[in-house]
Amino acid sequence: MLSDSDLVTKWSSDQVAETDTGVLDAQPASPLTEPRPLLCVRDLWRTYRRGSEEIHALAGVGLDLRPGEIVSIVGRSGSGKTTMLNQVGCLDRPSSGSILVDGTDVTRLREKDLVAFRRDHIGFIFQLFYLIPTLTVEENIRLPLVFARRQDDERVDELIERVGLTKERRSLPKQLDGGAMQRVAIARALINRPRILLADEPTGRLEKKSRAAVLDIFRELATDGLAILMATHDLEQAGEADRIIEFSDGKVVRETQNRRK
Amino acid sequence: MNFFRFALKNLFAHRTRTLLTLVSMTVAVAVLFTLLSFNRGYERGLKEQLQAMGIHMLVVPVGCPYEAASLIIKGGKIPNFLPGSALDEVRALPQVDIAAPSLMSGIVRPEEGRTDIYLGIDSTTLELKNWWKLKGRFFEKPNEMILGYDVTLIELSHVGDQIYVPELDMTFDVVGELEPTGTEDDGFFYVPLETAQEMFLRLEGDSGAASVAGIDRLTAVSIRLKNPDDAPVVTPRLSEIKGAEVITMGELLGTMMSLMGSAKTLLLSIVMIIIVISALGVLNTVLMSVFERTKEIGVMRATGASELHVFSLVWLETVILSLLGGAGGLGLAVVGARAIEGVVKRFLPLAPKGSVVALEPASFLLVLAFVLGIGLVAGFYPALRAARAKPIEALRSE
Ligand SMILES: Nc1ncnc2c1ncn2[C@@H]1O[C@H](COP(=O)(O)OP(=O)(O)OP(=O)(O)O)[C@@H](O)[C@H]1O
Ligand SMILES: [Mg+2]
Repeated sequence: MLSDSDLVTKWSSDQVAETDTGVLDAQPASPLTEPRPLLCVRDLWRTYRRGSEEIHALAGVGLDLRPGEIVSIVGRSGSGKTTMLNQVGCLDRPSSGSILVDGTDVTRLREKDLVAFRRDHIGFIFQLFYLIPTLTVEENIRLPLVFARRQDDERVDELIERVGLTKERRSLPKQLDGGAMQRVAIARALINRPRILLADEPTGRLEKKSRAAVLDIFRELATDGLAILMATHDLEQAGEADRIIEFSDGKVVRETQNRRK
Repeated sequence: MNFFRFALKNLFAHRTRTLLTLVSMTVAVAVLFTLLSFNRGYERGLKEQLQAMGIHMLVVPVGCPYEAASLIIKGGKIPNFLPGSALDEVRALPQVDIAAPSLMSGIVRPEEGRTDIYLGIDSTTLELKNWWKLKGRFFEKPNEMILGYDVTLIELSHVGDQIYVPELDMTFDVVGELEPTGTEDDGFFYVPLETAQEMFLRLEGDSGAASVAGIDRLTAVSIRLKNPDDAPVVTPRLSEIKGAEVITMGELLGTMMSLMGSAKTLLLSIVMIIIVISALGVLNTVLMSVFERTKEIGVMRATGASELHVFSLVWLETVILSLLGGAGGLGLAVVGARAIEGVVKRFLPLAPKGSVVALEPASFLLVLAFVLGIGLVAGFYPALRAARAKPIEALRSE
């Protein structure tokens, strides 16, 4: 486990490296052309009660996410990263505050509308992939379509190709390595054409090469306008983002814009 | 891919567990179905048998149990007799078509472990039982004998042979033998009524019952009516005969059914217990698979599944499991009906001869509905558990 100071120093050195090489400077963004945010989080609180003790997993967080943007949330364990993603992903309800996704305040949606909203607007991936072991790669990717009662073979083919799993299409998850499994999870998260992808430690269990592959895919997807919000311990990965937001005790303590945006 | 295939795949992810659950379900259903079919077949068999007998009612001495034959086999003596005059009274009624008198008694043969049952009849029985196929001829003289089919096998005697009865020091000429009827008629020695009356009076000496009715006595008069619908009119008239009791075929059926009723109840309750246990097995299997899949279910929720989706999926799995077990059980029952029948028959008294397992579509549907019901009930709780699980809790537990 990294200490707080490790985190900051290491992360800054990554940034320096980036600036030095200038590899990611390709798309300079101007404030004028910046699109309207897809996601606006304002003064968000999530309080858990453990006996008489109150834990403020989120204590007044604000955050914007624009189409095509990749934002990393960093912070040590327990700082509220997962809690934040769960609120945005409509998997949990905040204690107070607002979350506007594409103009809709999801905190006000009724449970049954929330299911459909989540399905159509948000994709989720996790550190442990959570593929269904009995289903093939293709079936895993298709599963959200089954819930949505949609038929979209084109999208299935397109995504399989995009995440580079054409050959593994009929394989079972257990026949794949971690990187491939995460790529299946990405395709599954995107099958219903959401505009926001939430990723909780997406590369936490991957080796270096697979990690890079996942990040490449993220970058490509962002170019097409997908907004990606990821929580990570992986500082190299955090450095790949357009913006880095540091959480501590449920609050945003620092926000850093990488130079290319 | 659809929901159904998904549910199937989930079930077959744990082959052994699913298979074991299926086996218990299959056995339970097979037994249930056989019992049901047996019950229906038994009832039908009895009815058909009685129908075929063409006998609409029976006049017997007061207090004579219907199961006279089994009483005699067990070494008992029929306590009462009808006087010969009863026959005339029966025949006097205009609605009566045929009235056939009979006298039944037995000779115990302890060293051979059996009792030979003698039935004294006259030619009216031949008219009544017009389905009898007689090889040889009917009696023309006293001391002639006709053998039931089973008796020809036991005695190894046939038309033209003689049978000696040491207890009475009498020799009978076998003049006829019956082809198999599939009823208890197969097990009797038939002699002329007068011969029977005389020989059993001799056998008993002047003890008890014999002296009451004298030589001219009967144990039953079987009656065929010109029109079976007249039974309600005829019954009270027959009851007026002194010392007589009337048994209609409907009553007879009822008596026989209730005789096996208690045995049936016992069997049924055992089957119910088996079924409850196998339902618990189904519940356990599905519940375990729900627990194991906590994370998967959480992720399904995160990728667009509603509570209803999760509920339906788990419920569907249970129902599929139950229906597969049900179908397997029905298959097993059909294939193994004969074997199971043998076992079940041993538990029930008075089982008719021949096959009594009736594989009726109604029982099929009943059992399937029952199994479906079990699946729905057993699946409800696990499905609810799965649907109610909060996705973040599911995903948090590492
Ligand atoms: N359901 C819950 N009930 C009680 N406390 C909770 C619950 N979920 C989260 N917490 C608490 O909220 C705080 C934030 O947790 P969270 O999981 O968001 O942290 P995190 O930044 O994702 O940590 P990690 O890096 O270890 O994943 C922690 O103190 C945690 O114990
Ligand atoms: Mg976390």
